[in-house]
Amino acid sequence: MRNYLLLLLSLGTMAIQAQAPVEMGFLPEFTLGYQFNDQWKLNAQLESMQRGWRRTQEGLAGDYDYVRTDLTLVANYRIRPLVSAGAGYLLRFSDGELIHRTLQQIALVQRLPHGRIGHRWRTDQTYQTAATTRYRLRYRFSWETALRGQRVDDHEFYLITSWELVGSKQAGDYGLENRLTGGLGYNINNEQQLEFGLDHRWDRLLENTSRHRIWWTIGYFIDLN
Amino acid sequence: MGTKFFFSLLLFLAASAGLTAQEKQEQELRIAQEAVPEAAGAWLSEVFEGVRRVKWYAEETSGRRSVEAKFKYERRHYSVEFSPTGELEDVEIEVKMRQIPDSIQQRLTSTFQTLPKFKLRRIQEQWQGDKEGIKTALQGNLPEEVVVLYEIEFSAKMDGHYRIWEGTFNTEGRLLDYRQVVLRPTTNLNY
Repeated sequence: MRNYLLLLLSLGTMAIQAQAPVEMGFLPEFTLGYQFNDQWKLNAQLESMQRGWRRTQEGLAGDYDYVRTDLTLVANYRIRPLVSAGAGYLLRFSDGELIHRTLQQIALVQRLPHGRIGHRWRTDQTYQTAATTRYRLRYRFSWETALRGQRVDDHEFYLITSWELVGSKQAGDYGLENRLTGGLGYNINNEQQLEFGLDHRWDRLLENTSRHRIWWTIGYFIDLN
Repeated sequence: MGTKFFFSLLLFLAASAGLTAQEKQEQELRIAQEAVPEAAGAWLSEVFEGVRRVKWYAEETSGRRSVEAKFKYERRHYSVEFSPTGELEDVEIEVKMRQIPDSIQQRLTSTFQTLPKFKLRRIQEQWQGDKEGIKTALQGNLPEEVVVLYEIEFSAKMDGHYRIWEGTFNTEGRLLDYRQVVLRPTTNLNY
């Protein structure tokens, strides 16, 4: 556990160049899943990003800024027991502007003797006034393992980590972003999970100076049948 | 939309979901060697000579308690189940389809073909019998009194549901019983 957290911290720290812009803040999220029948499931997600600190020439300083709130709805169709295809819509509230995004995804989960691995392929299209449509292609790998025993039972803690690569295109500009997350989850029961952790987003990788954003995350997941 | 509102919403939803939450029926807990019933530890050391890295678990399934040892021995994955007092209950060995005798393979395949959208996921050969019988079986001579069953995990459409199931098959290939494998939601991995 200690080694895992140290590894995550070192990876994040190593990636941050001395001059690179750094922002830190909070990213709470709430996800509700509702299974309509064997095939169809609806997921609703509410996420709010709030900056708390920013690195300036003087060092890291408190600088609060409400960044955005996203409301996402995704309809999922189960192709196989652990494979689903989904399509959805995201509404973003940011700086008094409403931003719209459509998304499509394929997700699959592999069960291992000591945990689960998730793969997610997603494409999305972002529409906003005064900007051309932004297209993104994303792949996320996630891994979850129980802290005691082989599987995560009720009232047990687990570790969860993920890595995501996000490529984007807007007009003639291309972008690349890395996202690394790590955290501790608590399985309240088969319907509810609570997760705490860090989310390190390292973007503008194709530009001269990349940007680092580190968010303390708290996620709450509920599944209803 | 302020932070206060967001967290209030979160707390409200947490509280309401808690009221409808259902109890999970399986619980597994890793236990130390010292907590293992003496008879269980002794039998295991006697039969699996020189076995190392044994992981012991206390399990409770639908109110039934057991102690389980999981380990790898001579390149095979074993799972040995004992009662809480250390009485041997069964031995399970993870096998590939090709390791099963041809005649049984054929019978199992015939049954699989009757299950829509069938996909094989995992096979465990299960031996049930007394300590001596199972010891003899592990030495390579399967005595008649040891009952051989196959605990097979598969995905298929059964009872109108396309899910993952765990079924017990006999050597005739007959599906004796089955239950749905309860999976934790994958929302946190997919979103």
